[in-house]
Amino acid sequence: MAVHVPQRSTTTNVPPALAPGEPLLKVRGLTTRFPTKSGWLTAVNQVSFDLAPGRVLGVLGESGSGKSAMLRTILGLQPPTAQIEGEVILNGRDLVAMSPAERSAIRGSWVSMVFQDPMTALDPVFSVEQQLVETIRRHSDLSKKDAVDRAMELLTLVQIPSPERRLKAYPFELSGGMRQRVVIALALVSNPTLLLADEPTTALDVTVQARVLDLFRDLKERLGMAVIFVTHDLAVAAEIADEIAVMYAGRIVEQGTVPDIVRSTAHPYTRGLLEANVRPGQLTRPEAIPGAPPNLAKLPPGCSFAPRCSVAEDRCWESLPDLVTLTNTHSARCVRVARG
Amino acid sequence: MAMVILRRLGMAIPTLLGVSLLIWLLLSILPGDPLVGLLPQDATPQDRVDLEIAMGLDRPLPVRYVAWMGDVLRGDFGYSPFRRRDVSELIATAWKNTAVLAAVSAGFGLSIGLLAGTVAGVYRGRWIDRVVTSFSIVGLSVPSFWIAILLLIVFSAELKILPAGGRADFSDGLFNYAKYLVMPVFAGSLITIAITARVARASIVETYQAEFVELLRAKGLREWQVLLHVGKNAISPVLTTRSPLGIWQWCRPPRCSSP
Repeated sequence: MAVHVPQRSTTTNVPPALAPGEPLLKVRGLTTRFPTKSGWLTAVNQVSFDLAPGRVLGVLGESGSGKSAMLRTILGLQPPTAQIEGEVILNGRDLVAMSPAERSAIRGSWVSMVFQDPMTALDPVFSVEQQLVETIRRHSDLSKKDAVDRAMELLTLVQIPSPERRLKAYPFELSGGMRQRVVIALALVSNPTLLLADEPTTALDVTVQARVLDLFRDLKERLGMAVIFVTHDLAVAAEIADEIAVMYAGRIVEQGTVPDIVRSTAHPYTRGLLEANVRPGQLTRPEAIPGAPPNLAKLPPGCSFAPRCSVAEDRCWESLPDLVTLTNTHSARCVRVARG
Repeated sequence: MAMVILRRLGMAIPTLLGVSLLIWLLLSILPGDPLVGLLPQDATPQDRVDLEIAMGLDRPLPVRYVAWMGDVLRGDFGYSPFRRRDVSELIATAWKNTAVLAAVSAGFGLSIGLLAGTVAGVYRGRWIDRVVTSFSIVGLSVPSFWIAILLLIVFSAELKILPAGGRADFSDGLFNYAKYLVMPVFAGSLITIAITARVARASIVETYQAEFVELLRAKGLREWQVLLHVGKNAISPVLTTRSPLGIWQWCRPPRCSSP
């Protein structure tokens, strides 16, 4: 059966065309703070990166490293109490400076998101069809009937078997993998230029995980969208991503292509993550990074990783290291790499 | 669907039985002798025993309950010696007014309570939420008979715009009919409004925390569309707690644990 690729012409809110060579997404100095009883908690700290159209950025980090907070900030889902600084320039427009109404129109059309837990992401009392159709009609002028046809197309696109039956189903009638496919279909409604994926395979069984990863790769090839794929699993990131950004305590500590990160690892934290990973055939126990991530409300003045770093020196505690450019694709935030 | 309704109605039977038994027992335990009011002043102890036997009050409690229940099931509610009329006749004259009052009070209380609770839940933590929450505490705490007296003083005695008692027929026109209902409905539904508003507010607030709400926003839905989703999810617990027969169970889509 031939899969029909959705046409952008159905979308009312089409992003402006990019100049050749222009990055799709430019994030500059993005900072997100939340008010807490013990002061401001900096979840995302001066994050900057570029993402070219159609590329996949894997964001790697432990729980609480600011990966999800960064995605939510890009999408504009942070609560109004959050303090957000910096720029998120998507298709040439700064999302942070937009009004809430403009932003809501862009969510689900230019940029959309796939969530971690498909069990809780769908509204339990609305059918798959209702949830798809309302999203399609929010972002297009399609009639109810055409929107239902489009919903069928989307279910076919995410490779859901017998889509006409699933369309009428309620979420509890579907398996976890199937629900995640529905969540992905919801994100593809307007053929977004950027897809944010927040650990989309973490809550799934290993076999389902592999199939959903395949689907992501397939969709990326077919639809040509850029993806930010957040995961704590290095193997997953290496498999799906073109580039990897390693986050620690809200900051990007190392960034580069997959070979840069895996073969020419520069930052001790990234090395720790690599060693904590079990390789096939490995007989020794994987090496865990000692200690726990720092309190984001009381960050030390120097390198955030210094307290857990086995090679930390006196100067690591004094001031925050700059992100040092190693090659034109690879950079790391560590005083030791600066020395060469 | 028919099965669900039948099962729901079936579940009401033990409830009704329990309630009847409890009320019946309470009447027997309470101090006071029903015979005193019926016997003439100069009655002899023998007269008393005779009357007791004639009314069947000499039999043990369980026997009397079963006999009474048997009569009720056959449609015989008994005779009231005080009112000197059949109980079924007493009920027949009163039930229509009671039913109208109860239905209108329930409808009014539920809709106002839902509205107030939803507004409070959507604007949680803001001034309108505090107003609704404070009013619902007042509504729960103030006895309705006291509100009724206040209403009578203000609207009947002072302003003279609403009747203090009595009723009109439908033939007198809807306006006149409603005039007699306004104060009793308001006083009677105050507690319903208060409880419904509190339950609805809590349910709405809780539903807004659900993860699917974040996805709704990520899809770009407008805030009123998000509220539609939240409302539909929040209303089931509200109506289930507010209606003993769980009427809402019929209209909401099936929900069960994951397969």
